Amino acid sequence: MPAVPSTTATAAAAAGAPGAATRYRLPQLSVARFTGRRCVRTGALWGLVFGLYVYDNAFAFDSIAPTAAQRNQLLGSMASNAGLKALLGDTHLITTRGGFTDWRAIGVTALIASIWGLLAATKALRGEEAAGRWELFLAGQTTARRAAANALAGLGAGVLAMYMLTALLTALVGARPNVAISVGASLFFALAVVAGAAVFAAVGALASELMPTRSRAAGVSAAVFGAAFMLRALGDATTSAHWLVYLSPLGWVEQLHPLTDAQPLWLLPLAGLVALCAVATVLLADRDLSASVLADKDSAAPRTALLGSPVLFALRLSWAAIASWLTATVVAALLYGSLAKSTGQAFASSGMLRKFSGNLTHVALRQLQLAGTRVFAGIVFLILMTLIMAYVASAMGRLREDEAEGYVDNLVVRSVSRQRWLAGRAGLILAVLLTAGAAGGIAFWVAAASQHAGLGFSELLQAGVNSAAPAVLLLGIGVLTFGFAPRLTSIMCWGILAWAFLLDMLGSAIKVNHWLMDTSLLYHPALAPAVSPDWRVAGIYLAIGCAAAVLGGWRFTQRDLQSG
Amino acid sequence: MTIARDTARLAVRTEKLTKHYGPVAALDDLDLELNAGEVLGYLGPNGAGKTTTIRLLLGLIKPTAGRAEIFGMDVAEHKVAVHARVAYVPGEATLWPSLTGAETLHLLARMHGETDVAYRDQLVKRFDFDTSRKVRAYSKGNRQKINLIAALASRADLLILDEPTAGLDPLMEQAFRESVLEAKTNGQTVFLSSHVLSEAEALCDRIAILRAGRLAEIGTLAQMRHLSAVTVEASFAGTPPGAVDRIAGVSAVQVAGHHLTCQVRGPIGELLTVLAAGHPETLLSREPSLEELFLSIYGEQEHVNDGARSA
Repeated sequence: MPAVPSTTATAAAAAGAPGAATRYRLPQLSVARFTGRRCVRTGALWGLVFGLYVYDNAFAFDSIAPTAAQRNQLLGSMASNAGLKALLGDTHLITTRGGFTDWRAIGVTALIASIWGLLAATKALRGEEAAGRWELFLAGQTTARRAAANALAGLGAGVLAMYMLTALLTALVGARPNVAISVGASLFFALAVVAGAAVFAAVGALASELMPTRSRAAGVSAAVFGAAFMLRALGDATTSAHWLVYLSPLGWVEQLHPLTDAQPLWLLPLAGLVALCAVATVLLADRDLSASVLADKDSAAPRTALLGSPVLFALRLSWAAIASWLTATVVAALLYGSLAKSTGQAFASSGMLRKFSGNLTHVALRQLQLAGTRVFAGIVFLILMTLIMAYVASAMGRLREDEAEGYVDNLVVRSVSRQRWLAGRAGLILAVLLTAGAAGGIAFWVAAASQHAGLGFSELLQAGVNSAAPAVLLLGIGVLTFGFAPRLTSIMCWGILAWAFLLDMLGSAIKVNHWLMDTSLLYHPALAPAVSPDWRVAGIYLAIGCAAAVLGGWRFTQRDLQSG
Repeated sequence: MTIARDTARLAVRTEKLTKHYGPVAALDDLDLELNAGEVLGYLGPNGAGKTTTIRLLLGLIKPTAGRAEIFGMDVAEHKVAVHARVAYVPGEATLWPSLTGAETLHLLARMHGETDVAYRDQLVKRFDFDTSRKVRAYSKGNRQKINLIAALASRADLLILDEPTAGLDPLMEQAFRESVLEAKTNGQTVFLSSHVLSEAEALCDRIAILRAGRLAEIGTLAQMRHLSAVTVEASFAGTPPGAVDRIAGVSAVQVAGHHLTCQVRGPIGELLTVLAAGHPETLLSREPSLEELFLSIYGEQEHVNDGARSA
């Protein structure tokens, strides 16, 4: 809370005499407090989501099969399924509640936490510096290195908030007699969940020192994350190259097994990597303001391509991010497509596995009397849906930032109407998400065809386009929020994504009230190619999305621009 | 203030233009007219409502009440048509850091719709601007030059300039004044919000002074000076005459040795008669500068506020 000067001090100041100075505690920690305030909020939010997800998985164990024998059969099928291992990680003692919870929860939450870490770090360091706020900090009682250390401490506070919420909820669910996870195990489990956040926050911080802009720092961090994921997925999916897992921080997280036979020694390479990146960040921070280790050219010959219209200009500014998302989509589709045949055979041979995937894909059992390859592909396209929704949430966040930072003012005070600007940006996001869906479908087909998996080009292309439907609706809701409550745009989009994901995972394991499930954007679309795409649902999503976007766009033309 | 019906000659017209942010009135009942081809200085301290006025004129924010017209077009209804005839220079340049100066100028020209390329090149030289550098490598002043060059090169009918010389060095300020005078010669209208009173004094046909969201004064400098006191300084071989402070309209009389200084409002004849009777050796009369007028207006307000507080 800011200190309030005393009346005497005010009177003295009014008379021109020096007043009694208000002294703030530890001014050299200002940057840590500033960064921490922002990171703790989002860290705690994700900690809450992770905790609920753990709750879901711990209880799901009992409900995945009617008898212990059937459950063991199902889980045994899962444990040998290369595709599922590539998706969620390797299994360890999966027939126990602890092993099942480890596998299902950490495999997913570690990825989300890692992405949070890299985005939070690049925003806190390079983003703040680019926005000019770093200059104010460095003019205070600090040095560049101290400020960087402060920012890392602030990020650490965010990771700590995430850890505490996850640990608390895990301990609460663990206290239930039928779950029986000890407090110690809960604390270690939460550490495994947030380890990815710490690692990739450190990677993001280091990338912020290396690269001259936030988008490039985020791009480099995302590339490291993508490589880590690929190493982990390939290592888990293939026995001959299992050693790849040990090259990836995500693989190290997987080795922790916090709820079965805990392997805390794997924390050492994780802590070492965090420490290494943190020390490098602090050391490299002693440089000129706005400079970077990998310096960009300050001068260049003019390139006027893609400067002719607002939408082309948006494409020019965001091509790197778009390329990253599309690459991630295509690479993931190629990877899982190459596993489609072997994984599909495992699905086809296990009735229990089909039932489980039926829950996940919301497909009735009788409809699942088909090749297991299609069931596996359906699950992959569910992941693709989530990935494309994440792109939309990220792009809508950037769109709002453009208004908040004042960039939009530069365009709409000229001959560019607000409608044209917003329609262009929303249209670009729509084009990218449709391209991502189609590219994902085609890439999956290419990889699956190379394995003679028996999946047709047309059905996979349709499945890819169908997987874009929830993202179209999310885009509409995002534009609606941007029109009416711009400051909530980013949190609304990410919140809807987290909610849908949480409910879908919950619904795949335990029975959830259908009214609640109805609120998930991932619940309604048919998961092609496990079943035929439901174009009626896609059409309804498109119609609602368009209506929401039109309403939001209209409101945007009517309201005050909220910049600065 | 009466609103002129002849809108054809008006570049800007506001009618009871008001903007509230919750209980705070950022701008209150602004009636303002700016003739085509005129340069208007729009002055006021921080928080007086200058930028709010500009954002309302550009349609970036909506008025709580009232309306604004530019070249006879309602701003709320014809934003794009209005913007086609307007060029705007914001006080703080938020430009894309990854573009070079040349790319930014090209982009801003494309978004505006037209630009005078030859004149733009001339302005680049006049402002001694290196267009090859990226925006993130420019100083604040150089970033401001991009906005200025883009706006001036557009040859727009109305230039809306919000603290345009913030960050410019004196040489560049001179280049800016030259450019504004050129624009005026070309028949362009200029709405200049500024803190630099000497700049407004040198460039503006009329001055509007805003106080706490309300228009306090508007007129030519001569008209405003007429309403204000003239400073008179005289020196004498002997003692200055003592009856000066009893003359109607004379105030702030100060005597220091053989020198007398005072201020007079209204007719100066009686003061001259009294001073002449004292056989002055030198006599100077000086009209108030814009800075003195500005401080005088705000000094009066402070005086009123102090009175209200003590009451």
